[in-house]
Amino acid sequence: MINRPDNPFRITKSNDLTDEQINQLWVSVTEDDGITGLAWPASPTAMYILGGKGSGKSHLMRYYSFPVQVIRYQESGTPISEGIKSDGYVGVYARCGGMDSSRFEGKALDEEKWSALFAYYFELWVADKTLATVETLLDQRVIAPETDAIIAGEIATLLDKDVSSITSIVNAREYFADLRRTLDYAVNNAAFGKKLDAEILVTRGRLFFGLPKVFCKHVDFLKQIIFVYLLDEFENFAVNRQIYINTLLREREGPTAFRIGSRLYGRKTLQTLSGGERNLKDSEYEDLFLDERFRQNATKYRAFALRLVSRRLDPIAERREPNDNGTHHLFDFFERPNMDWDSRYFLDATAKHDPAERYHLTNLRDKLQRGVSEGFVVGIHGNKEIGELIKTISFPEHPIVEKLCILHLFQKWFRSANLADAAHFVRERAEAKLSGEKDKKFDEFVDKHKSDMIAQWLRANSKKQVYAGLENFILMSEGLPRALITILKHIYDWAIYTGEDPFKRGKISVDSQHLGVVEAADLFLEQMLPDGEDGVRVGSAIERLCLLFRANRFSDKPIETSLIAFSVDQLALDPEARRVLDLATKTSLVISVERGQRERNSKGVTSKLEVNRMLAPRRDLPIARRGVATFDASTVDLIFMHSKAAEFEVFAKSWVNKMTAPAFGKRARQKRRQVVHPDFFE
Amino acid sequence: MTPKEYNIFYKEELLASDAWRAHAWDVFASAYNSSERVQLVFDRVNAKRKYWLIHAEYDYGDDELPKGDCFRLEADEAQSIMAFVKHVEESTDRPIDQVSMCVDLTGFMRPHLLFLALYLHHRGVRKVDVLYTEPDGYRAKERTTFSQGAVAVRQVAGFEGVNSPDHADDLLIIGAGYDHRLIKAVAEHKDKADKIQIFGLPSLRADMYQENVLNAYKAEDAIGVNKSTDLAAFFAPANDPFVTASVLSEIVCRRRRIKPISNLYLSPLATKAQALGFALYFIGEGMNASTNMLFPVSSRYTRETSYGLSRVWLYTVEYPLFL
Repeated sequence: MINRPDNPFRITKSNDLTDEQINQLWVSVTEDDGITGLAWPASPTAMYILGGKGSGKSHLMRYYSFPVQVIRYQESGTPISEGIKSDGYVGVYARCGGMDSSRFEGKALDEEKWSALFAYYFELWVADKTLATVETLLDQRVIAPETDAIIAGEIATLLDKDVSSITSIVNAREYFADLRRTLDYAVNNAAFGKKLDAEILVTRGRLFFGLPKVFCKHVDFLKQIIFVYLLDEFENFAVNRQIYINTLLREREGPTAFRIGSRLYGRKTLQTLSGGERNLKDSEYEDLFLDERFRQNATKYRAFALRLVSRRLDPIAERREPNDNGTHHLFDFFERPNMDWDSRYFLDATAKHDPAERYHLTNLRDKLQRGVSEGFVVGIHGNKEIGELIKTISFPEHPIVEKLCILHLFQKWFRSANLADAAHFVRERAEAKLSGEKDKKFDEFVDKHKSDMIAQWLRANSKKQVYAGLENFILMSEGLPRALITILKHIYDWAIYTGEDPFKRGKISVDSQHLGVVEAADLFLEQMLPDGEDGVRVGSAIERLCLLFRANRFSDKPIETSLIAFSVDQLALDPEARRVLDLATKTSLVISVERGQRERNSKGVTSKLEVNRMLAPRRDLPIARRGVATFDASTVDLIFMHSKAAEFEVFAKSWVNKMTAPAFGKRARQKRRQVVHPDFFE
Repeated sequence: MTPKEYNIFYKEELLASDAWRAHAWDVFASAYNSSERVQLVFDRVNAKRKYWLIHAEYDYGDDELPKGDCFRLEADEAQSIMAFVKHVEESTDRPIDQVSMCVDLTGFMRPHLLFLALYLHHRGVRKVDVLYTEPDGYRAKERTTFSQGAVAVRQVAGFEGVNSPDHADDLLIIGAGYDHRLIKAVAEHKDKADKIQIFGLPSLRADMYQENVLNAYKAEDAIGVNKSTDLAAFFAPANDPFVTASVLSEIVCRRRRIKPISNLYLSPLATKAQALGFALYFIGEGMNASTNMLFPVSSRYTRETSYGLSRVWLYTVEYPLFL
């Protein structure tokens, strides 16, 4: 039996990685920021690390955790004490989801009591992790055994009652575990109606801030370092629990710092218990929006993504930071057909068809015939002139040039220009282009519209859209590394299934890439949608948005080119539409594009938003954004409000009609007057 | 370390053609929903007192309630079940451990049925009979929607365990049912844990196993990859709580032979019969340990998801035999 090769992209979530794998697969964001990169773990200022699902928050935070620090020291042969001194911090990693905080509610007990019990339990919970790091230092004999008892004595003083049984750090850990167990039993028994009488032995923050103070006071190499609490999955805490953590941030003392990891929608409040004050940005805390940061710097993200892929393929390579020369070969593993306007790909693909039967030409003929009979066409009066026009814009050797010429005709037609003149005009430009002449305006026209015209041609010829090439997959992942890994995971699986030898021999076929990327796109939507009915609302809003963009892309005269984005004044939206749009943004299904869009007419600044490019293959949308549709608030209400389904249907129909010849959304009437000075190449 | 056997308990099929006269109880309780199988069984059972339990999640108005003694249950399973037991004690004028009782699981919300099983044990009940009826099928096959609205994963009251802050070797065992979004929710909630799914095989009907697997596949990415073990799927009959408990015991023993378990999470998302098996395993082996029961709670449930009545099972749970 031949073993199926192990997919190097099989693990997509950092939670499925061991500490060793976290270290092994770590890639820093830039060459120069090294391990003390984005989250500045040695800085005392608190920071929320926010990002969409799969943006790399947990990997980043776990990389800073003490067990992974130790692995790095061991790898480099650095003594632990030296390593910690050089890092300037000890990372205490805890997942808020691990505590199941929901059990600290209900059971006929009031919220005030639960809040106090939760705070106490959480303090004991994190103290266990802090003590575990120091226990490692004891085991490694980095802390002298005689210091152990001194530290233990001081830990005992942090409690609100005299405890003589704490004589060592191990002992302290056991004592705290007993307190936790007692509380666990009490919480359990509260479910059976028993009175919950738990004695709280720690004042808020005493262990959080007190333990690091004690360690730094008595251990020489810890004197200048800080204990950074890496609290991940903050979204799992309800508002009242978050208020408690926010209070710790505000009341921080001694050699401690906080890094709080959360999904974009996960931070529910900035309120504290300190006189009801709210924490202020850049005063009590900083924000790091991880995926947004990646998107803002495409070059850095590209380099990061390439190293990420390279590390997956060769995790034990000696050269841990492959440079450009080391990663460029990755592109070569993917088949990528030439999709430029003059590519032979399109000719070869239809070589078997009679040129006279080319779909786009027959379609144009039909529309012209209808247009003439309904009085929508200027400059063409009958079948003979239609035949001549089609002959004028025919380039049998260049199907995409034909498509571009037809687009030009549709644009002129929409403006009621003389189509015979337009056909001759565009033929001259096309011939010049084919002979290699430069014409800035026509070159721009080709560049701007070729992607949509190629998409139309592929569809008309029953071919799949081409989503191929690592460069495109990096673009599609929108700053979410997990999205990139997921695409590659599925492509790898399909490549193996179809008998290819991915990343070893030959190229991965366009077909395998297509199948993988479509599967990854479906999965991405499924993963990112919020739970419950909000998921249905966001999902249907995304579908409607994609439906409009798709209609635009495959229309006779698209309103915008390569359309996946829109702009709108969010303040003018119906509250429900605004809420659903906000949810779509916070779950990364809609991406807010930096700096918004300045409107041509009103000069007001509105939000510019795009559909996550990961979703593009689901509805044959482009992955490179050019145009942005300007929607008024009422249109966005139709898209984002479930209750407006019927009105949306009417709008969608009129949207399509406006882009469709021969009427372009107008009623049939008498033949139009010719426009004397038509604009070329809109 | 050897797995515990739960197969010693009685399981009997009640034939729809019989009058079920051999069985009679002081009290019978069933959770009301619009499935015909629930209502047929309610009418057929011989009991001195019968109670309809009305779950808030089905959202029945007062004018939609069935005839008879109806008792409303709220979302808080502990408070609701304790109140119901008190109601039974008051109406029978006897403590619950001296009442012969039969419960039809079929329409129950799982957190309530889990807590009921645990609470009866807590109150010293020695024996309870439990009914479960199989449908002929689910209305929309593998696309049947059971839960509706937002999902929030939480521990079931009384099953909260003694938790370890070390999550390096957590294990989550999921009874994989039709509702893939529940599987996804619970798997994501404990995404650091290794995960094992128990599928219903033999399933209630021949085609249900495939439908079950089709749904579980949709949650594949949330299930992820195990760090400590290649064991990922086990099987237990969809209609047998006792074999389900035995399979759980076997899984845990096998996993512990490879590595200790920091926290053991159980999440019964398949049939109610299997959910009872999860409760029995907890009572038998998980109490006062780092074992706890998780459930992705939805705000609403579909009132009628199945059609027909295929088979009726009677399980006799004898608590002293666990200990």
